[in-house]
Amino acid sequence: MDRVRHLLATLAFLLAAPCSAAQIALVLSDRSAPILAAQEAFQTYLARKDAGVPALVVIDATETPAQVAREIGQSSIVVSVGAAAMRVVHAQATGAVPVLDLLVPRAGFEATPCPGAERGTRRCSAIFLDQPLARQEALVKAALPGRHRIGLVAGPSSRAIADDLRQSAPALGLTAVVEELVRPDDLYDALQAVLAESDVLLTEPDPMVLTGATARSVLISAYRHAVPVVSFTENFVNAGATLGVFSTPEQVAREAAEWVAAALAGAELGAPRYPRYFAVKVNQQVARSLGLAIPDEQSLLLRLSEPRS
Amino acid sequence: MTLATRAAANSRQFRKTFLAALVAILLLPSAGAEQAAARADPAAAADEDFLGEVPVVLSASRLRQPISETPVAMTVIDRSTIEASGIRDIADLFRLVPGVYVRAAVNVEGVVPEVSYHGMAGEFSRRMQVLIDGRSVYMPPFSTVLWDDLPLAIDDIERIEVTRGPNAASYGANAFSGTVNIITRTPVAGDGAYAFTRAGSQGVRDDVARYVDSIGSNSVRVTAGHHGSDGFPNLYNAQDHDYLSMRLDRQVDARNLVQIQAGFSEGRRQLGDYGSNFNAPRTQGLDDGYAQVRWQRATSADDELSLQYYYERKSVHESEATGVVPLPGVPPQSYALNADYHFERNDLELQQTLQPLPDLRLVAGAGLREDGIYAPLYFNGQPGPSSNLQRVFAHAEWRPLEALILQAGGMLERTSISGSRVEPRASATWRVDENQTLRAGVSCANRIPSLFEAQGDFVLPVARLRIPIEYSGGSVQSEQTTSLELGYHGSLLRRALQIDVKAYRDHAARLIDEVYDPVLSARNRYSSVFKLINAEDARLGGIEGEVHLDLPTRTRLGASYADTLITVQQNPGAAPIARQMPRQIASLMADQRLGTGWEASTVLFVNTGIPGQSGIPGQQLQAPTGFESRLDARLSHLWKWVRTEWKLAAGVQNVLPGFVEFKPETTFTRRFYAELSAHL
Repeated sequence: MDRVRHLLATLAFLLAAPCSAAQIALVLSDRSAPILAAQEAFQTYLARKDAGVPALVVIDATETPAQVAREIGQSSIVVSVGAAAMRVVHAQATGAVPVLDLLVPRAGFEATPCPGAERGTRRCSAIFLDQPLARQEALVKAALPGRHRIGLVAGPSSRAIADDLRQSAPALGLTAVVEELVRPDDLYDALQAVLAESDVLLTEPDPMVLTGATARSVLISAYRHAVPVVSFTENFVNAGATLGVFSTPEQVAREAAEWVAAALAGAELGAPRYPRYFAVKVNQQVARSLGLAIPDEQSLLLRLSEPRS
Repeated sequence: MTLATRAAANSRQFRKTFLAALVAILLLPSAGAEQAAARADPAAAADEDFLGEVPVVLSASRLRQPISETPVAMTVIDRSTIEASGIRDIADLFRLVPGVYVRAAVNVEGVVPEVSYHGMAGEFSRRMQVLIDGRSVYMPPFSTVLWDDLPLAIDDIERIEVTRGPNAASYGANAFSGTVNIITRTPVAGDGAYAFTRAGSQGVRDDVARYVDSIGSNSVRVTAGHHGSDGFPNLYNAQDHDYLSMRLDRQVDARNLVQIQAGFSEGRRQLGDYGSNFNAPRTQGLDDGYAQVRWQRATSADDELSLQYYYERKSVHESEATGVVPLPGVPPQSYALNADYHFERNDLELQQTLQPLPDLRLVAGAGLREDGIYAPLYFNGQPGPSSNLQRVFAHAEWRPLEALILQAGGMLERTSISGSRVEPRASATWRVDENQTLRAGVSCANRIPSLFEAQGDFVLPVARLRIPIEYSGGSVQSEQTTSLELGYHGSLLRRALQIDVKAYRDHAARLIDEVYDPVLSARNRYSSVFKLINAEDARLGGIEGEVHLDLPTRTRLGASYADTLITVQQNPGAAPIARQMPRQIASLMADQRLGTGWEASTVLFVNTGIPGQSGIPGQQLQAPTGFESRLDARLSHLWKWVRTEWKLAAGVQNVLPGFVEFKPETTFTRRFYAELSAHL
């Protein structure tokens, strides 16, 4: 069913697009559900833009490097979806063509060198997987007003966020409880230390803290301490995080389409930034089990969407 | 091969298989090192870590119903309470639960702890359902729980949930007066090696070694331990046991989780009375082995299917030496009896949780169980009856309004011993405000007689004589209880103060008990004879509750209190239930973290109106004593050294002298202990 929809979307896109010299290369890490959803949404949103829509070439990151380099070379702009695609594109791009990375952790993006960076012009940008700290703090304040001690286990990838948290917390009436992680083996001890002293646990896309294997451990440890967990993906909320603010692949694709349309019209590629569109989800089963009365998702979304005064 | 030798051989075989499996698991190649390296590099972040499917970890069975919403009053004893209390015997932990009476009972098993809710235990703790991770630890033929021989380290307990009231609709027949659910720690969120040792007065010596590790999607815990003491000073009741247990959690894929547990324990227990004819001092050997598999499929937090199977076997080896028995025509001599017994259980259960509507949650399931025993001494030379059980159960939780929860459930059960029965339950919970709830409930439960109560015939074969001791009157019916409860739960002072209070009225009918049989006793030169019948009805009523306070000064306080009044229409000669429960029981616990790793705690247990021991006509009746208390104190220090967490603790149990429980011989003297643990 998904494949049929996917096919129809591609067809619709192609039919709506008159032949044009510009070409967009879309590089996908794999064919998993979230990445395909992003691709589909990207094509749909792009098709809604004005005429002059360029052709779109979809490349798998698993194709040979020569193949990838060739497709990139023929494109006016490259969009990568996922961390694996980002690495392949940064390796094969020459710096002649702007690159936009989607669904990548901020630390991962910053750790991956960008071709052409030495020339001083920005050729790579990204819409991060992470949510801005201010948004996460606002969610905590709106959903869990009685809880003041925000905990975070920070590996090397999250040092910047940890510092941000320490600086921003007092102004919001919150206390930051941060444990810095140097070695992966220390995760368990760091978790126990943070959970013992905090009322809510933040999670970030930090490969030392949160992987497929450690996700369970984090959720169970937090539950044992009766500490609600805030997540940056919807999957994690379904798995047991109490609440989450996240950007769906569709929302990220929509913002990416806006960027790309602007770039093709001649605008400079903007700076890498956090996603603009987001959603909120609450795991009511877990919230109830922890005895938490959390406002419904709609009102939380409204609160977070209010402009900061 | 006789049954007894075959039992011993099966035990050895079980142990060998278990150890082989254990070694295989520990030798699994460890991919830990490479994974760790990968995780250290931000540039190597994998997409599936953050975009991939995460299994539903907090699934329906893992999420605990908040105490404010449970249909029946419930108490939870968590890890930090267990550690701070300094309690070493699992049975003693229940002194912290309001309405539970724990005492040392002296019976055919020797001196064993007896845990009962409202005194409704009779001799063998048989009216409560006790589960470890869903596995019932009852033991036919007496439906005993041998608390001191459980193959479980108190350290491996995550928490204990005690349901104070009939919970048959969720946990089955024998959840007559309450349910104890001991939940062990999952290895998924644990780490490394751990060792513990404790030594104390009365020959107390406990050791535990544990290893927890996660390899890919497998998490495993292995625990080995020893638990022993010399018991009470004036009784022959030293006991010790060694145990080895294992738990493996494997996340097969995003939806499916498999859990495997197995273990065995081997123990020795002294029992008997100096100077008694038929209860001479002797040593009993106990073996316990189990294997359990559970498969869970969770598509979301409110949709879960689980299938569980377990096998359990227990054996008691005992050569019971009689005292000198003067038989006519033969010089006086002692005789040895074979009092071995063992039993096996197979149990299969299926359960589904689902949420068909946003405000309706359902749990339904079915189960099969088969018990077989070999206990010829207690069934007049016959091996003993086997028992089969089939059950179906369902429970619904409906929230027609945000502030109102209506719950109803029922269980239909059929056993080969006593036919079918239905056990319904209903309750309503009203959320007064965000922090307070009121609860009203009614439930019915039945307790099927134990195998011994139904068909027992305990006869001592001494030379050519057959000396009857106790027998079932035959046609013993199930006991029945109806319970009404009103409760209040409050979470006040910004959740620092938790209060739970319950007032109740129970009617228990057809309680089974042993009654002195004057006719057979008169004919028997050597001993009194007792008969098991449905001896009496009882009405219980009272009020009980608990309070927990968490202060920002790092102080934790907990208190429980119960006032129980039991009135009985009894049969003359029965050991009346009314006299088996102190009128008031209270406990108080205070725990203070003093900074830099020091922690001090103290626990106080108080009973008033201890029941006296009634006896056989002609024997002295002991009057109820007034007021008994026991005060324990403990000091511990936690520190890190050489990347290891060390903890040293010392304590005193019963600072004030002489805590009398039930009988003068089981007076608890002052006991000291010291313990040391290391966690890598």
